Amino acid sequence: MYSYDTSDRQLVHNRAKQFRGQVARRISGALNEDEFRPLRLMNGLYLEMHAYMLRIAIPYGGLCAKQMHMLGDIADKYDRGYGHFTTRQNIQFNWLELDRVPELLVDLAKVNMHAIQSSGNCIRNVTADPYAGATADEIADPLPTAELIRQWSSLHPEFAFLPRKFKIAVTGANNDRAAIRVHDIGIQLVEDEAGSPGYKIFVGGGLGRTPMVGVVLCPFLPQDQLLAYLEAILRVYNLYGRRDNKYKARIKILTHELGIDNLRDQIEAEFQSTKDTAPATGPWLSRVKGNFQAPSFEKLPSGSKELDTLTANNSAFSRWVETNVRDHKVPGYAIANVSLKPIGGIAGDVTGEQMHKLAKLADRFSLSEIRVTKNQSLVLPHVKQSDLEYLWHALQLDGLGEANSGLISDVASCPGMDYCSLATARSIPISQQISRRFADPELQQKIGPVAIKISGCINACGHHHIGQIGILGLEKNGEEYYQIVLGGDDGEAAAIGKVSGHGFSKDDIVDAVERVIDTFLKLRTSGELFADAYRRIGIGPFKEALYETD
Amino acid sequence: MIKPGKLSTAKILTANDLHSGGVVFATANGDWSSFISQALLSDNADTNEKLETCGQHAVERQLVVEPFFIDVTIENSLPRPVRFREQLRVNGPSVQTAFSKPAFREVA
Repeated sequence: MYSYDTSDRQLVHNRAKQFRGQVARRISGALNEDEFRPLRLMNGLYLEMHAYMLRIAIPYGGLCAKQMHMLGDIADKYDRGYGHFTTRQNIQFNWLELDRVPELLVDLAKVNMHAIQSSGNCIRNVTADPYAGATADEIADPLPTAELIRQWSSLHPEFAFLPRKFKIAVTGANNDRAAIRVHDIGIQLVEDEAGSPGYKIFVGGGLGRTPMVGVVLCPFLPQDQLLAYLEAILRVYNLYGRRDNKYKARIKILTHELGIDNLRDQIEAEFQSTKDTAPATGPWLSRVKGNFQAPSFEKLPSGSKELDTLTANNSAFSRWVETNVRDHKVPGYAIANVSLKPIGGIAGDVTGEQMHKLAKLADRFSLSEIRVTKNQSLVLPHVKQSDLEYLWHALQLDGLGEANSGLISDVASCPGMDYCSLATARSIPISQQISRRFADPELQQKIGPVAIKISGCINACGHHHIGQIGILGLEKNGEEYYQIVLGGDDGEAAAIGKVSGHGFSKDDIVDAVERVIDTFLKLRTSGELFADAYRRIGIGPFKEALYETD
Repeated sequence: MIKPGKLSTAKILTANDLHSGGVVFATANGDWSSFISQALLSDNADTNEKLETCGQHAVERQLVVEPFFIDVTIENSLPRPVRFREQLRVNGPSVQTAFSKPAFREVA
């Protein structure tokens, strides 16, 4: 975990104090709503359908146990007893009162957390691989780079009013669990032929109403040039990004309109003219690395005979290990995914009580570390294999032991029209119905990994474009209806899903999803995954199944 | 400026309370209530104007945020929003019934 220093702590305390003054002026009438709105949004505070909602930044999805305890306290003290983890690795509290938000921010600052840059046209909270520093398939831990970017981008005066919001994701692995190709900038840690560290830079990815997969801007950027190069990208975007039309203001549109070669030339010219005065990456990154406390791993033998015996004798535990546990780079350890998708539950919702229990489990079993995933679940990244069975029992008792990580009931869903003032349809009830329809563990195992993602409007917070089965909720003549998109992918083979055809009513959409799955089961080759089957057979057979009665 | 909407349909004035953020409705005596049963129903230009004035005063007094009219029908003597979005605003999230909102003030 990163240890914040005095200046970090001072910054969040100062911001909490500043916001207290802004709220007081709003309540007194010194500020009207038009004047106050941009100030509250800069602090992550939205006014939604039923109440104020605060989006709290969780840098690169990393939490320590103490921070999770605080989030549990906040859920109970300020909210209605729960919080909602989002597809951006953040947490939202949906039932807040304006008058109490300053006090909440003071509490949050006690654990070095805040809501700065979780809204507005600025560089948003940087996201990263939730298995960072734990997985065997990365060439290096991406978290120091992610933290460096967090520090560089926090309250950066030049980039506080960009044409539009700007999202950066980082991974250290080829296996992309951070969806870097659908971010404004995606960064992959790589090495050149001589083994020197550097970055592969993607630009122009994004979802929303104009989804695009990012393209390679720079195949190898030496590590010590990162901040200068990021500044060059942001400067070119700040200069040429459109401000006349917010729907065409993201860097993906600029990339598309200029063309990647032209954009690259502009960025390179800016880089050459400013690199000597830009922040030096090397010393800053070294300082950041020095403030990361390496996990204290024990020397353990590879594998666990005890674990082998337990999985052989307990089918439910074995199923959880198979679906929710991943290999760790350190012998004797494992990565445990904690599903926040109980059958029929609300994706990403956790009660205050569960947060406290998760914090205790992290303290006891995962070197106090917790990660939030873009799929609205949690990860305990450093669990001894010999502790897995006890952890599983504890999670079961707390309603957090669902063995469905990556399976069909592990549906990602934005809050939709139940909460969000931008939404055009509800998404949570659809995800609940799908989860119930495919609840049978045997059926889920038979279907295998398939990512269903649901958004309640074209803004795509539920990432429907990159779901293997994506669902987009819209409104037509006052009724909710749902489009299906197929073949999306958020990994290294990133792809935007194709719309299958006309939409379905809320009463028909789950049947439609079942027809897609039935078609897959009928046409798959032995052991073939949904994603592979789709790539092999294309959208045609699925369209036939969906619209055969038309 | 509050959009008056079409005069051909019955409407009520709604907003979010500045402090709680909760959904509120303009009442006949110029106050704001979280109970839709207490909303002043308008089906004419005069009442619309009265409600509009009520909304503007409430904004100026820092009571509510962004008041707007919604179209309603009358069912069981209660206003019911025409649009589904507004039904959710009135009733609370459909997925967490513990947070649903009553239309009437409960009598002890």
